[in-house]
Amino acid sequence: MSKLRDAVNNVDLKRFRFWFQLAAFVLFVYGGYLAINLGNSLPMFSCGYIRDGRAGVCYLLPLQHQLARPWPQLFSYAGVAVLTGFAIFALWFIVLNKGWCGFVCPLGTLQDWLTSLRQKLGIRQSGYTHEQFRRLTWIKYVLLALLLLIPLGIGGGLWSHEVGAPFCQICPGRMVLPLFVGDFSQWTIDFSSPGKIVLTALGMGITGLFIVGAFVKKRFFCFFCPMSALHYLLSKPALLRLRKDGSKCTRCGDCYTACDMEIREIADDVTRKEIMTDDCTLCLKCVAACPEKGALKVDFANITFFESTEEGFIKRMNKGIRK
Amino acid sequence: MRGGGDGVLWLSDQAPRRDGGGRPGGARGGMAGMGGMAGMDDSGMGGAPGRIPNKRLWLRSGSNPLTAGSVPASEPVLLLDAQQQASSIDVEAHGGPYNVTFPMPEPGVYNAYFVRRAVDQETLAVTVAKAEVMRSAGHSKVEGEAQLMVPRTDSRVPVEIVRERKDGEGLFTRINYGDTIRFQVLRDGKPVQNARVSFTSGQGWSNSVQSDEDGRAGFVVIRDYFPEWREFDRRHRETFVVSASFPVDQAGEWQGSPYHSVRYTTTLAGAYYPAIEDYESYAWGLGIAVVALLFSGTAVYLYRRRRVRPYREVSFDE
Ligand code: SF4
Ligand code: SF4
Ligand code: SF4
Repeated sequence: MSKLRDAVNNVDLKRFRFWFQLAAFVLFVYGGYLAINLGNSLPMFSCGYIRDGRAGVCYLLPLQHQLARPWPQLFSYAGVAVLTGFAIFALWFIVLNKGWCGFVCPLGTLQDWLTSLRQKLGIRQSGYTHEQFRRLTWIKYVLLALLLLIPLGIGGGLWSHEVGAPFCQICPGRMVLPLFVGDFSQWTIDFSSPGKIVLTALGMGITGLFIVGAFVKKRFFCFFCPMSALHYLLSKPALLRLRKDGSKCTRCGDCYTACDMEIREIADDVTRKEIMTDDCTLCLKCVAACPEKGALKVDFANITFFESTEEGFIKRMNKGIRK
Repeated sequence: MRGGGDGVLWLSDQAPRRDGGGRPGGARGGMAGMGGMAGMDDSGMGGAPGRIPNKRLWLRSGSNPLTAGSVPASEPVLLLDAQQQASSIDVEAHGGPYNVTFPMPEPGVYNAYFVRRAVDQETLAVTVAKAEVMRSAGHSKVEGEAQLMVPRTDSRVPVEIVRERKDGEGLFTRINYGDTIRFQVLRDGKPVQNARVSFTSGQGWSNSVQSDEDGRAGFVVIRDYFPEWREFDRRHRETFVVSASFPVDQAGEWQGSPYHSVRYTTTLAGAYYPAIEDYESYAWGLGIAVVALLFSGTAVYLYRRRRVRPYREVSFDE
């Protein structure tokens, strides 16, 4: 048993994650060709616009459509569909918590691949200052609010159906992910109405920005992702948890250096036990980078299955240096 | 040529109205080539739970959809449902224009036929008005959809027009401006050569050709929707009517009246919509993405250079 635990703690997380993410990417971008269908409530960007390949649909797409139903329906029978969709979403989410972002989401994986490409080219990365971080971190909540309110407004007759599923219109996933099944059809501006022009043009602009952003900055988009905001609001009862024992932490900052999301609290906060913040993707790189035994750990249903150890740290360091 | 008040009978999923327009109401099915809402435009969450969608069809007279009015009739409609089960649907008994309603419990293609036979001046007129109604399952694929889409015929139907499918057509595929749609005219299940086949667009433009040796005829769906840009609706629906007629030398007796020849007339209506090219532009899409990419790329580059420079200056001073 303790051997197994050592093996897990010494895991080459980078390699494990690479293969796990690749498998998840293939599943959610091409699984549909094998008739795999995991439903419409997935807690990450298995984009609904990957027509035949997708093995399920990102919850944000049906959510926006459902909320745009006329109010008399929404507040009667259609409300049932909204609630069941949400319940299934929450169930999926509760198992993996934000691990969906760190290990499964195809758009997140794609950003990691762009990062690898940049590293291979020897171009250095960008980061935010503390001040910028503080100011930008709210954007995802604003996007989440708009994503819920605009469809509700449509259902209430406040504005036209032309701006339906507004977030999908501007989400870079809609443009980028279908490319992997050879579908270029989303790369257009829709001139059928003023609202459509604005949204599709924004979408194309954001796509350009996404490519540059994700290239120079790790997980550039995740910082603004409304799915991530929605996750955080639900993360209290989740089974997979990132925990910190501040008494063992020396505030060396290794975890912060490893963190793609530039989360300072992971190193600085030595009082909070539940250390997962709203930007965290549960990629577990911090745990792998921490040299202090038990300072950072991952629990599933309160059972620790991966924690920081000196031995694991040294093993991974040596690998990193040799490479 | 403008189609006129020629008394051609056809089945429509829209009530006869002078403007001929209006959106299909109620049920999610649409006339052939319409399906539910295409692709991602719709949530596909269906109607109230447990409610089976119904489809209502009206009999209309005159091949121009703009002006075709209602017409009285009493014949039942023969329905072939998605599973090819046949049933007879009686006309709704509440007066008003002729119409029938049938349930569409499962996704698939429902064929409805109005059949009329009458002898007039020693000619037997056989008229079949056909409607092909699709019920899709929102934007999710239906199991065995390709199989459901295969056009069918039925021996109970003396004459009919079969629309050939577009490449990869599914239950929510639409017919768009610029498409070439092909039809086959069948009598007792066999192709009819040299039938006169006419296509009338939603705005009343029509074109006629003779069917070839396989009974086939094709038409390009023209764009006849030119609104002000502000009024443009990418879901704008127009109805086309295809009719085919041909005589056959055949003598006999129908309900006590002798005849010396038979005149077959059959119709099929469908819906068509703006094509993506009518309102979406790849050039602009790609252009904006590239501009954003270059702009942000240059911004990052310049920002980095600016941050490097002061260091150089210091080293020069030494
Ligand atoms: S935060 Fe990133 S990884 Fe998570 S759902 Fe959004 S895009 Fe995907
Ligand atoms: S790497 Fe470990 S010891 Fe270092 S600051 Fe982070 S939690 Fe503390
Ligand atoms: S805090 Fe840890 S798990 Fe969360 S994103 Fe940063 S490195 Fe990954």
